[in-house]
Amino acid sequence: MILLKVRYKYIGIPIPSLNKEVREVELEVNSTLNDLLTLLEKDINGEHKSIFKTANFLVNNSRASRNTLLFEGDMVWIFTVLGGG
Amino acid sequence: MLKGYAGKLLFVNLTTGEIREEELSEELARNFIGGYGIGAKILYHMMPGGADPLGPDSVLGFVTGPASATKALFGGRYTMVHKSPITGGWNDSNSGGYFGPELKKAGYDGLFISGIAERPVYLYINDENVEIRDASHLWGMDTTRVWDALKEENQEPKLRVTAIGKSGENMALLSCPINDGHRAPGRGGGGAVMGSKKLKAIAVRGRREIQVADSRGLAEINRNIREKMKNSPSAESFGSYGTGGGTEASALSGDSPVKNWAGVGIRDYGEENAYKVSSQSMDRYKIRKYACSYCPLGCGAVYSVDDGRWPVEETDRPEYETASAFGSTLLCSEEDAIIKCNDICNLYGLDTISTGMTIAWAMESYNSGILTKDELDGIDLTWGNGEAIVELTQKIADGEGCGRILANGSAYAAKEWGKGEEYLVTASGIELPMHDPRFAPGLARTYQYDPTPGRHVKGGVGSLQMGGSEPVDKYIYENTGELDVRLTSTREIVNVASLCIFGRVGMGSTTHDEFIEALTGMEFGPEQSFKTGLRIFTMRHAFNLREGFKPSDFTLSNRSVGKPPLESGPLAEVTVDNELLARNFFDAMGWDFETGVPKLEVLKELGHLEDVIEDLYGENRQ
Repeated sequence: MILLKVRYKYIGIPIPSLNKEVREVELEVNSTLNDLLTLLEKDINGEHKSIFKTANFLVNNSRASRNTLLFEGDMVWIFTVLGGG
Repeated sequence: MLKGYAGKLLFVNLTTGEIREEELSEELARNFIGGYGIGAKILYHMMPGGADPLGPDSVLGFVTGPASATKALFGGRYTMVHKSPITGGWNDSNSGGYFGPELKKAGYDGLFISGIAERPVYLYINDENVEIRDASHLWGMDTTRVWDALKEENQEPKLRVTAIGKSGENMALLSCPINDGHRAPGRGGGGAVMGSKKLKAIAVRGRREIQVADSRGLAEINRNIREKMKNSPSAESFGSYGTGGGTEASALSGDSPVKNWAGVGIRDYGEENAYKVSSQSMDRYKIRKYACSYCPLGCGAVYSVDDGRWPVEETDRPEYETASAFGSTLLCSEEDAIIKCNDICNLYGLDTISTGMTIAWAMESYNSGILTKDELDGIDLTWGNGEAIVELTQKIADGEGCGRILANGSAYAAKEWGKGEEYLVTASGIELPMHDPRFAPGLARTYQYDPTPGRHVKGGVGSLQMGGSEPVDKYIYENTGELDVRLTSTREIVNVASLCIFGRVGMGSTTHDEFIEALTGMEFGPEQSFKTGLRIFTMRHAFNLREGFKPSDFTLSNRSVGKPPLESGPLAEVTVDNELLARNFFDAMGWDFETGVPKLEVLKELGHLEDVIEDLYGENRQ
């Protein structure tokens, strides 16, 4: 199996463990952002798993969707945005 | 009469001095609920079409809702209603704190003020005792000093006050009243309307208890909310950091405007700066938190800055909108400057969104060589220059020099100086709030075509898109109408019930309807709620139609919808098809897109709009 390494970080996620620290993860080649999120969800407690449903994403500073393909060395940002205020 | 209401409306004419009460009719309460629902119906009848918003026929209303002054969680809001001197159309703006609930406890679901006083006055409401009193000694005072002075002279420490500062006295179009020292119905020029009436303040003390229909049901709803909040990271974040907890993510993701809406957060502002202006960073100044009436979150906080350029003993924590308007929009990361600007706006009574955005317009105009240093009274308004931003904010607050022009907003300034129109980012003349339609395209429809233009607290698909709307692609514009209408109606009910939109951290999709049932005793199921929300929306729209507005009169600056699109960053190549979004919405509403007129059968189906039907379809229609 060929693996690729991507980096990711969270911004504005209101769960203390999902902080701004840059982390790295290995994924199978041809993985999408959705595959990354599925992997990351495993580290989140049950009641907080829905946090990614209301998240927005950037890959290498560009807009991304869950279907975006990831490549070796990609940097993924995962945001939650608060409406109103 | 339904439960959940005080049962009376108060009318004050400042020209004649007449003070009178009217019973709140059950029909009005049942079909227009409260807030701007009741407000729109009353103003439609009290104000003649074409009235000068700063003239004697202009009516200024303060309206509560059924949740206000009860034990309903998140029920602390009230709404100020009037014709906007900025847009020339309908205006509503809501505020938290304790002023609204206190008005209701004094016995009034709403207060409507017409006429113009001969000299500065304040309105004193102490339960059934209502007086118009001389305010000559208060004229010139800032909003906090007015509150203190009125508590002192009335020997009433629990007095709640909403007051204008110097900006409202000057009838600056960016002005607003401030209640409880730090909360504001900030948008649309309500401070100028108060100033035009020479109404410095309204002071209220109320002691009544509001009866509700089903106190056990209400307690159950509250229990469910608290239970849901226990497991909500968003609730925890709001409770700790307030709205400013989202500033960093918004600035970098494309949600917040950057460099007067022409920049890219992740490139032009950067992660370090975005963090500096977030509550997570600025909270090192926090000395305590506070909450609005019956709010279990407490998203407010008081800061103290005891050294540096602008020390202040106590001031309010900037909200997200403020931190973004004075932060990323101006490329400013000097947090002490942002705190100072927020403090000036609170003391002088200024809308922080429009003030920051007006400075953004001036800043881009200056940096592009369109506005000169002389025209800005020698201020070197370079991007991100905190000293210059504070100096200009103070000039706007005082209404002195270039501040006299800028205090009326960016559209007014561009017209007055005859330049810089290409840098305006407005909806029908009012500056846009801090959520970008290129990030959440549905906001474009809301900003342009809501009867109160340019508001982030109004409903529609945009609010859904801000939180990510996958798997539905938010940049596909077909078939948005029905969902847009449904979400619009839902937000109407939340707002008019006097509930806070941040109650969503504990409320479900129908909790607002359940609240209304428990509070009032009337049946308020999904169909009734949907229809009522659309009726209220239509009533506000009808006010604008009577003013002669057509859909084409509602404008939105090209830059905010990506015309031309940004070349890089999260919003690269996005151009919002707002015409299609709007056509979808108008079709789903049953409104004509050219004239804005709702179909007769739609009005009849909504019901209780006979006045609107008569004006649009009667024999004497204009």
